[in-house]
Formats: sequence, structure tokens, C-alpha cells
Amino acid sequence: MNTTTKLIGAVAVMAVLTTPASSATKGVPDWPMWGGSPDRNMVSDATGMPTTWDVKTGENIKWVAELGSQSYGNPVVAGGVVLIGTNNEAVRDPKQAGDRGVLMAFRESNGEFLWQATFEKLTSGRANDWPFQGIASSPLVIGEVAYFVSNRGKVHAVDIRGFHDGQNDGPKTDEALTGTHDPDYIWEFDMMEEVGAFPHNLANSSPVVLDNLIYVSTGNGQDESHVNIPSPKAPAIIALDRVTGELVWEDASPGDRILHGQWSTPTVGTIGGVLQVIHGQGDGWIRGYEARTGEKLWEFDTNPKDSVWPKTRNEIIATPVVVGDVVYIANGQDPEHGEGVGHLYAIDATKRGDITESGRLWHYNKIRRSISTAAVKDGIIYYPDFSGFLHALDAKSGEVLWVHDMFAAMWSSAFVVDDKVYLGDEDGDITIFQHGREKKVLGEINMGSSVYSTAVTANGAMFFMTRNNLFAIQQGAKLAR
Amino acid sequence: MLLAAPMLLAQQWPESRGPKRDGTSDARNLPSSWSPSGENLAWTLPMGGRSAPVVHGGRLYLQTTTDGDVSETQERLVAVDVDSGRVLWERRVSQYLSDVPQHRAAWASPAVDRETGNIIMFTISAELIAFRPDGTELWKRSLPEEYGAITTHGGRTTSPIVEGNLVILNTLLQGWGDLGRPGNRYFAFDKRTGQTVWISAPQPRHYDTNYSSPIVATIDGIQQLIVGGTDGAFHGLQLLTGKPVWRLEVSKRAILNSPVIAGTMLYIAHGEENLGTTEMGMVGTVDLAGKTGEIPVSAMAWKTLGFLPTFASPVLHGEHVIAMDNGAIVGAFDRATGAQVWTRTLGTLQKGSPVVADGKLFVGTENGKFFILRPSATGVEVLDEDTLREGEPEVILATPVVADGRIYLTSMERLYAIGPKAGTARTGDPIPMPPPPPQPSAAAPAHVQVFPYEALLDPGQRQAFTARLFDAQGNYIREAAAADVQWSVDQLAGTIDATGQYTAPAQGSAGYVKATIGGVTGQARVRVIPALPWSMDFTDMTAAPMWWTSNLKAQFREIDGNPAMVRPRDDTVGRRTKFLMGRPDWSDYTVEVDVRGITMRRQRGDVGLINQRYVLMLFGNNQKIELQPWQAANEMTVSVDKFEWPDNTWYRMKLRVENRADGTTLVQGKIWPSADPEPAAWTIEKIDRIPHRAGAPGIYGDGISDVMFDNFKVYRNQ
Repeated sequence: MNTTTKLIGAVAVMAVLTTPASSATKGVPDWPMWGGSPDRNMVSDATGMPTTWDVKTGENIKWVAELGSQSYGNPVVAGGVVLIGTNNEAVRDPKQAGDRGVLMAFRESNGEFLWQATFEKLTSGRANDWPFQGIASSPLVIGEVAYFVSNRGKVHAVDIRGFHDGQNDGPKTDEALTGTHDPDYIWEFDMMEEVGAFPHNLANSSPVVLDNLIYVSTGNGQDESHVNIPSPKAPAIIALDRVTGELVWEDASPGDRILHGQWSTPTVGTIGGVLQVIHGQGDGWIRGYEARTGEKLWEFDTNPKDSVWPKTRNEIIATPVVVGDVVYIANGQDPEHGEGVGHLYAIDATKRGDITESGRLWHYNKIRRSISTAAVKDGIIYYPDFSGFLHALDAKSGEVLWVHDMFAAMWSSAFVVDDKVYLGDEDGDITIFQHGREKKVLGEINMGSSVYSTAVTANGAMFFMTRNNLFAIQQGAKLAR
Repeated sequence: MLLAAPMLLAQQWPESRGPKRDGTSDARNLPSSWSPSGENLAWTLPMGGRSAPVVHGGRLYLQTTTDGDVSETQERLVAVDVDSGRVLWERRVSQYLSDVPQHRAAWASPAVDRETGNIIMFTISAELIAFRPDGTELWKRSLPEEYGAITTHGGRTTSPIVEGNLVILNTLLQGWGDLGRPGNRYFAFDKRTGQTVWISAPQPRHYDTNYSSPIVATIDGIQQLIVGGTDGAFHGLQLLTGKPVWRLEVSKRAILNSPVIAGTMLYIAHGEENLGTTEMGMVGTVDLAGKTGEIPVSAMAWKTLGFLPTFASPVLHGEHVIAMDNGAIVGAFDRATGAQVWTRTLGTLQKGSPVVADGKLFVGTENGKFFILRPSATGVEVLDEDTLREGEPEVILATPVVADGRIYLTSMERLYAIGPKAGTARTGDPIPMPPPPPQPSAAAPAHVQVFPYEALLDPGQRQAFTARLFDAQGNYIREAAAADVQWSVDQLAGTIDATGQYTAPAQGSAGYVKATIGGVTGQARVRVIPALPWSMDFTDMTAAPMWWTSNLKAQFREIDGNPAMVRPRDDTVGRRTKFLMGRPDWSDYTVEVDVRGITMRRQRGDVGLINQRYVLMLFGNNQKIELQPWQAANEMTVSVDKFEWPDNTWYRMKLRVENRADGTTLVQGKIWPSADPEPAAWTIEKIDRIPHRAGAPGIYGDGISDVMFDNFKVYRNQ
């Protein structure tokens, strides 16, 4: 397959990607992006996932792969490859040592390491590229091409096979490293040089797709003074042509009003018959754009007008979720800021203009600061918060159904598969709940180190990432330990 | 007297880590339960903060911020009578030239000198101030202006200690001369005068700012400081000289907490990356006996990975090391083997350290829960658990403090004195005798310490230096006789005579005074600041004068045929640079400079003028003006929201500061195109009611793109 075929050939895949709700196959064969589909709803159509496993005995563990010391980029699975962002503490190439962002590719069937792309830290330091955070972008895979954002503020398109397919795909063909474990870059777009982005602490956006366009947040934010937006003209969100890597549209609505950074990642959905890109931005507003042109359709302030940064006013780190015409989003803050009040909304995104009042279907203020993303199934929305509470609400009314205290901070999202809800926490515990309007805890499994990731499913297996290991979990599997 | 000593010690908590610098107290009969609503509550005050108070001589000293309007936030040192809970006095200190915001101010705990009762305060601006017990100021040092100290948004600020005659702390800086490389340095100041005694740079690198307060121990006859570095290593430094003894590198991030020592066994903890493994966090121990230089991790007695105590310092209890994971899990580890004996989850986030006294363990979690626990060989029993306010709990970041038969608990909002009311537990206001001076060493001199280690002088001013001799183990021998010392100057204009009397030149200069005795040389740093007025058009300059901080960050080249100073585009950590170049005690002067910039990748660097700690900022990207009394404190800043400053166009900035008789300061700024005549009116103005009354002049440049400066002037107000 040549590069052009790789880039534009996967039309059949696209239909699935843009109409997830009706397909009933999400997470059954593949999980090609953060949230599994452009609506980002943390729900899988898979069945038969285990509710018990043991990382010590290997029960129901298919394989485990060593990652770096900290991993925040949720795994994706496509084309028989698992891609995952991590750091470089498990140095796989001594010639590429030191602190780096790393994208690792493993064979889905057995966890064999295939290739990696590593990125040196920016010389500008933690203001743009925080130590040891690695790559926190979850890639988007379309056909044979993966798109992700590196710690250097670049959007990269790479061949998911690396050089294992014996080809150097282009337009970029001047890679310095072309070994079997090295990445085959197709193109790259430098958001810092091209649109002046100044990512605060880390560019982490997980790309999302609509036909020939991919969308990413630039991560533009404050400099290390935390009172200055050094690049107010840089966009918050950009659309790139996924074949050429060229800039198609951009929007800089937050301007110099960014509270801190921009770590929310965009979502695509068809709302009221209009294809929209939806993005939670650094001024605490969430905005909807006409997906092909970038025309701003609506905006919604997730903070009460009398709130004060950083005590009560929040940024948005969670990813919006689209179900039907409704967008679900909670706000929160950088985990370094600790705990505090949060807000969860259901927004009618068919409205236009400033829809803070007109589009608010419900507002739930019993949630604490949250960086997690919603899972919505059968009229129930599951939303974890950073103070350790999982909230189950009626998705239509916002009425609380039940709340569970995990006694540990949550960075990850609840994941609904079949009739179960899986949720990991910072203490490394995964709690499994019965999906339903009443709370029922089915079990708790310790993974040995913090779980910052959300589960994904593909081809009958479930993947869970701890801070430093990736586990493939499958009913009946047994890993020799 | 001897019998009374432990009890007296139990009444004190003079420094952040406690009377023995190990997070324990010998206090007995401490409460097993209390309630915020009154049970076992002696008193409470509506003031709290990030840092724990210290307690000494019947006084509690809390370093916190002022209440109320954030546009007037200051740090303050509050003296409280422990009997009554009554505030005796408070001293307010304005913050300046700092990236630390109001809500992270007052990060450090003060320290009390047990000999004199004087209180040492280190602010988030890296200003060091000594107060007498009556609240009057004894001396102060401005580390940003004197040493280029850098204070970052995170706020981490070390709590100083007082040992013998020395006040000891560390800070990140980019100064002048041999302090020009950005990095973390350790300082010892004379506690009586504030003069610098030594500066030590044992770290090969700097990862993050930290706040590991040092402990003091004598190992193999070497009296040493033991401290966690910003280079992921623990360090042993000779107490009296600062010379490195050993270094144990365990992490790839800064060590934030303090170690604990028992005999020669050092117990350490950190919660970040280890070397050579993907597992984070460590609780471990090393026997320091016989160890010098680089100590490999493999030489540790044991280390247990996977438990993450980044913030809380460990504490010893019986056969256990007790540590707290960042997720508020308390864990006990066998002191002999490192085996994890028990754990218990107390909350979700942890910053403060656990404290052991009276067989109990006291822990406040960030979630606003305070626990009184009874640790045992097999587990931990919860004696008492209280949430500071239901609903939205009061955040606890500070370590609890044990003194006067009480526990002093500090939340972000309140101070609680838990225990008996006045008079029931205390037996007086003891100030123990100072420790005896160490016996002079009879060994051969191996180190010459020139004192004072740094002098900031006016032209023509005289400064006497002395040479103190120490042996190889850092023990004091004697002050060298003048006749035995060969004095010289290095890179420094001026003259020094045979008695160590230095006379500054008529112009500005910077460099070193050197003392050589018996083949051993020591040095001190000297800056001579030229008298006002200054006028610099940068003609024939190739480098910034050494008496500027950050002097290595400036370049000099012709712009449109005229020589100018350039702060070039700089994609490194030091992008935002302050060049400070005068005396911290100057006031009532005016600064002027021409500025210009260009757009690179949609970005334009910002420029600023610094006068008496105020900054007049001209923003390239945002095309606006700000007048900042404290950079990070937005609410204090006044601004002109639209001000056009085109690419490649010289504009002139002028900043005048005047101390007024009513105690306020009048700050006035003006910016106009250099090609035009100076306008009569000021562009921006602030009357500051929490004023900076003195400070050094300087230039600020943000090298996100090239910014240029020319025709810099500083002169007394006209």
C-alpha cells in the first residue's frame, strides 16, 4: 500500500468513525482513538470482559508490556497494533536516552514491542514541556496512519507499521533513524513555529477526525509566570488536512483570557444535523464549531460568573462527550492544584451564540473538580471527580442516582462495557460496578501502581494501563509470572 | 537543670522539623481526642496558611499572609501568646519581583534562634529578615537583588534553620560572577548581622525548586548539614564551611522533603523517578559511616520502591520508618529490612509531614482531615479523626506542631491549639543556653574562609576582611593573623592592604578578594556599584558588567548602526530575565531606557524597567502597559489595556518612584515613541499603600523574540 492509499483509502472506516452510535461495533474490533469514536463516549459495545484478574498470578492476563515511569496517553488499538504514549524511563534504545516523550507500538496479539518514536524535551523547560510526563496524547488511527501530538508541540502523522512494512512513507522521507524499531513519519506540523502556540506544561491533545480533517488543541497557555499569555494570537484549536498536514482553519477565541493551560481535547458529533467540533478551552468556556469551516456556532461558560480563579473558577481538562444533541462536560483543574468545587453540565448544542443560559439542560454542582470524561449509556451518565467520587446521574434530568467514594484521586474515566462499569484510581485500584440506577460494587482489583488511564476494548480483550505497565486482559488467558 | 532539659525541649518547636529536626517531640500526655467545636481545644485563631508555626519561649510564630483584599496581600509574621492565644504583634512584609502568587505566599516556616529568641523569616520573594522577640527588625537581606534569586510560580521556599551562629537555607538563583550559572545554592549567614558566611554549590544540576530543610549531624567527626538537593540527591555539607562531604543521588527530580538521622543511619524518602527503573518513589536508608564523595544507590542498606512520599518527610517510631504517600496513605517500614509492615489510607492528597510524640502519630491530610493515630508493631489504630468543616473542608498543607503539651494544627484558614488551656502543661518560658563553641581544632588548615563572603560597596568605600581557618573536616582552627595572610584582588578594581582592608575604586567593579595562607586560598565576592547618575548608550560594550545579575544573558550589537543591548530570542528556561544592577537600599530615583522588538512566529517579547522593586512592563504581544508591584499578584497591577508598540520601532520608557511622607509610595511610568518629544503627562501611575520603600534598578527582557535596549539612565529624582 502506498502512502496515498494509506492516507485516504480508509473511507469505509470513516463511516464507522462518524456514526458510532448506530454501528454497535465500537470497541469490538478496534479502538482507534481516545474514547473509541469521535463522540468520545466512554462506552464499548464489546461483551464478555472479565470481572476478575490478578496481575500477580497472571489470571486472565494475556500479556503485559513495560512502559516508562509515567504514562498518561491512553492506549489505542487498530490494525493489530497497540499505540501508547509514555516517557523514556524504560529506555529501549540507549542511543535515545534521557528524559523524552515516547510513543510506543506493540503487537496487539502478544505485546511484542514493534517500534517507538521518541522526542527530546524542549529546551524551554517545564513551562512548555514538564519533566517525565512523556507523550500524553492518545493517537488517532485511520487505516494505517496514526496521528498524535508530541511533547514538542508538534502534530505527527506516522505509519502504524513503522518500517516493519519495508517502506518509508512520505512526504517526509528524510528520517535520521530508519531501523526496525524507529518511526516512519509521514508528515509533521509544528504548532509552536507555525501558529505560535505556547503550550503550557505539555501539549497533550488527542486528535479527532472528520473525513479529511483532523482537529487538535494547541495547548496554548500561560508562561511560567502564570500571569501572562505570551502568545494570545495563537489558536486554541486547529484543523489540519490529514493527507497533507496543512492548516485548514484555526480559532483563537480564548485570546489572552486563558486561565492556565489548555488540555481538553476536541470531540466531533452531528448535532441538530450539523457536523460540529466541540472543544473545552482554557478560559473555562466550551465552544462548538462548524466542523468543515471552523465557523463558531456556540459557546458556553462552565463557570459561575462570580467564581474566582483559582479557588472557585475552573479550567476544562475533561473531554466533551456528545450523545444525540447533548454535550456533557465537567470542569476542573490541574491535579497539582488539589481539590475544589466542580461543575457538570448537559448542554443543548443545537442552540447558537452565547448559550450559557439557553443551552443549559441541567447543571450538577455536587461534583468536585474533575478531569475525567463522561460515559453515557441507557440514560445514565457516569462521571468521576478528582476528589475520588464516582457520580451516577440520570442523563436526562441530571438527578443523582448514586455516588461512590473511591478514597483516592481519579484522573481516569469510568468505562462502560456490557453491563459493567470499570474505574481506576490513583491508588491503583480498579473498581467494577454493575451498570445501573442503583449502586452495586462487584469487585476491586489492585493493579500495583496508579491507574491514570481509562480502559479500552478491542478484539475480545480489555487494555488497562498503569503508570508503568500496559496490561492486556482477556477472559481465560493466563500469563506465566 | 539536666532533668528539666527534656521537658523544656518538649515545650518548643523552634524550626519546621521540630526541636530535634526529626518530626518528633518528647512531649507527654498529649490529647487523644479533640473536636474543632471545643473538646480539648485551648484556643483557635482565624488565621492559617501553608506553613506550620514555630513555638518557642511561650510564643507561637506563624508566617502567613494578610487577610482580606488580595490587592494588598503581604506576608506577615504573627507572634501569639500561647497561654491566651492573643496576638502580641505582627510584622507585614511586601513581596516583590516574584512569580509566586498570593495564594502560595508564606510557604516557609520561620525559625527561632534558641540562643537569642530572634526569629528568622524567609519570604517567597527570597528576602531573609531577622526580627528580635519584640518584633523589631534586626537585619534583612534581599537575595533577588544581591544574588539574582529566582522565585517561581510553584512557590516552594525552604524553611531556614539556625545552627550555632549560622542561618542556613537554599535558593535557586542566577547571579553574577561564579554564581552566573543558574542553579540551586546553599547559603550560611551570620545570625547576628546577616552577613554572608559561605555559599556552596555542591549540585551538578538543578531539576526543580525544593524546600528540603536541612538537618545537622556529626558523622565520622564531621559536623555536617544533611539536605535534599534540587538535583535528586541528598547531600552532606560541612556545617561551618559548606564544603561537600558526600552525595547520594537517588532520583531524577528534586528532593522536596527532609531526611531523618539516627546515629549514622540516614532515612530518606522521595516520590518521584528513581534511577534505572520505571518504578517511582522510595523509602530507604544508608549508613553514612565511612562514606564520602559519591555514594552509589547500591551502597544503601535497603530501599523499598513504589511508595510515593514526595512532600511529607519520614519520621521514626520504634522499629519503623513512617512515611506518607502523596495519596495520603500512611505506611510503616521495618527499619532493619525496609519491609512494608502496614499501611492505611487516610485521604486522597498529602502535603504535610506526620509527627510522632507521646506514642501517637499526628497527621493532617490535604482533604481537611486531622488524625490522631496510635501506631504499633502490626498496624495503626485511629484514636481520633476530625474533619475541619463539613462540606468544603479547610485544606491542610502544614505539618502539625507539638509543644506546650499541645498540638498546634494549621489549616489554610485557621490555627487550632489542641490540648489543655493555659498553665496546665507549661512550666515557664525557658530559653536554653547556647551550645558550647566547638573546641578549636589543632589540625592543619585546609580551608580559608574569607569573611564577609560577599560585600556590596559604594565607590571609595572600605571593607575589612578576615581569614578564618578550618581543618579538612571543617572544624574551626582560628582566625589567621594579618601578618600570615597574603591578600589580593581578582577581576576586581580597587586595592587591598596587608591587613585585609579593601578600598573600592571610584567606578563600578565586581570580582573577588583572595586570602592565601600556607598555600591555601579562599575568596570573597565584592560588588562596587557606581554612584548615580548612570548613563549608558552601550557604545563599545561587548559584555554586560559583572556587577549585573544575569549578566551573561545580554548581548551587545549594532541596531540600525547604533550600538544597543539585545536580549535575543531564547528558547531556554531563562527566557524571562531580570538584570538587577544596584543596591537594594536605594530609593527615590528615576530609570529610563529605549526599547524595541520584532515579531517572530507570531510572538513579540516583553520589556520592562525595574525601579525600587516596581516593574513597568511593555507587552509586545498584548500591546499593553502594566505597572507591577508584585508581578504574580495581578490584583496589585495597574494597566493601560491598549498601547500600540509597533515592530522595529524604538519607544522610550521612564519609571519614577518617590517615597512620600505619608508612608505611601508614588510610582509613575511613561512610554512614548523615542522619535517624539517626551510628553508632559505620565502614562500610568500607582500610589502604593503597601509600598516598597527601597530597591535596586534594573531591566527586564522576555526573549520569546529579540528585544533591544538603548540609552539606559538612572538618576536621583529631580
